[in-house]
Amino acid sequence: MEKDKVSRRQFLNALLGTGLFAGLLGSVYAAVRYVIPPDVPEASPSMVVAARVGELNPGTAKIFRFGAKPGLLLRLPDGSYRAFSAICTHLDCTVQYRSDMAHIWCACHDGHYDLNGVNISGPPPRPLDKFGVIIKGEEIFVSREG
Amino acid sequence: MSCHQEIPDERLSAPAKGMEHDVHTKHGFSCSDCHGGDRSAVDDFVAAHSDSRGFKGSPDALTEPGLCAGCHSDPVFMKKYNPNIGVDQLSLFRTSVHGIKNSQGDTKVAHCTSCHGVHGIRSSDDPLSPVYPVNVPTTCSKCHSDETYMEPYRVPTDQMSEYSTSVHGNALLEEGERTAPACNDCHGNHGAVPPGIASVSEVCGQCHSAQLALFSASPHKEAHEAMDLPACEVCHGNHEVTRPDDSMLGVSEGAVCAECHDEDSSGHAVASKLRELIDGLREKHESVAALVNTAEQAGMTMDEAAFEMNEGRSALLRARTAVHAFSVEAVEMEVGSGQEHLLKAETSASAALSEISLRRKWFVGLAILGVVMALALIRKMRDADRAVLRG
Repeated sequence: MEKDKVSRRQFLNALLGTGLFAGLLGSVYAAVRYVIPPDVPEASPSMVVAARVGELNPGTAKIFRFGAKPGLLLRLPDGSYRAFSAICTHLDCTVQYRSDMAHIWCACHDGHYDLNGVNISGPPPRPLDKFGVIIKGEEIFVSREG
Repeated sequence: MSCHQEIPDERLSAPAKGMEHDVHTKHGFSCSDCHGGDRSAVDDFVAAHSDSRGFKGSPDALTEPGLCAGCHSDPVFMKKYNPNIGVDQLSLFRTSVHGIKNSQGDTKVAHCTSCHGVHGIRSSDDPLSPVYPVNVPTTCSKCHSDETYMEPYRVPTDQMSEYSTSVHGNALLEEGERTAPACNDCHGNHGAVPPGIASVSEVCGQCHSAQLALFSASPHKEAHEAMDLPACEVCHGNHEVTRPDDSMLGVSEGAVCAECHDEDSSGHAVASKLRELIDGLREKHESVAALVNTAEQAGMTMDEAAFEMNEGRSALLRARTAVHAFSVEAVEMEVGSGQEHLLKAETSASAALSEISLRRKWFVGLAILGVVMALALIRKMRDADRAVLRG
């Protein structure tokens, strides 16, 4: 009987010790994950780094990710930058820059925008949303406030 | 005008009412500029309406186009009021079915005032004008939907009922999208004629230029011309053109390709393959969208996957446009691009769902451990109490 009691006490001690250890381990894990967060981007950012200075030659453009949506960073022949939402106002296709015609162009239905983002030909009913461009050091930031 | 407004005879007073809204009145024109007579003889009825002073009375349907054109075909005169206004209305009108019949003495066909109104004519950019874009179909249908009126011309009268259910009619009449085509965008306005078979694609291509370019370079162009068939209209219809969907493509029931291409023809095989490619990308998009949605609803940030989904959807739209080339290679190229983007989105969503699954397993495991520990602690406290009592 005494032997059984000792056995149960040992069992409970072992159980509690294991539990405390597991709880401590869980806390350490949570703390580590907090200090080193997973590689999850910020939801709906208001400003992103679209490119580095010198990355784009004059008369070229690039598509960059602005949250969940594509943006278009354009470097004009005079070296200045402009940025727009790259979502066509017709049916939400991603637009691109056409250096041969110096237009922003949608391949889905041949929609054309000028370099101010204004719809000038084809089915797009409205201009592209315009973004702001800020150059800080070596990075080109694009913000939602146009 | 003040005299006419007070005349008890409605036939003579009605024209003077509403003139305050007339674009001509706003520019300083008076009754005599159209009807002739002496506008200065306001107190002398006979003098004001004297033939010797140029009184013309009410112009009839046959003389009216020439009367309006007296000013509207004069570029120097019109420039004073609107430097951008066209001055070719009469010459266009004379090339139209309306104008030709008018020249032949038909007083029933449309002339200037039939569409623009008589007294109280508003500028065409005035939303209350009968020729303001969203009002054009209703204006045309006053005659063209009237079976009795149109009976002598042997012209169908179902255009408006078909147009109002079409994708164009819905956009213009229901959604108020003024860039959507009304009757005059395809038929012309002053020079209104039905587009000939050869020019249908040019008419549609005014807006649908990508599809026209692909069609024009495809084998279909030559085949349609050889069979004296219009281009776009064969598959899409004309007034009743509905929003196209993938069921139109291929050889299954409801698809238009099989209406011309026999089962053992290469066109039949190409149509079937095009449908298979489009269906494959669309179904992939739907399944990945469901996966991404599940991860988002579970609280995961899926911006990267959503970005790739958008690219995949763009590729699907481009593939649908590429169908007008009737080339498997052209569609395959867009479908391949779309599949690549959707694979990235799928990988991202799957990783997010795996992360959620791992977190849940940890949570359940720790919860069970917590309960077991609590029970063990209770038991241990009881044991401790008993040991104290035993002393």
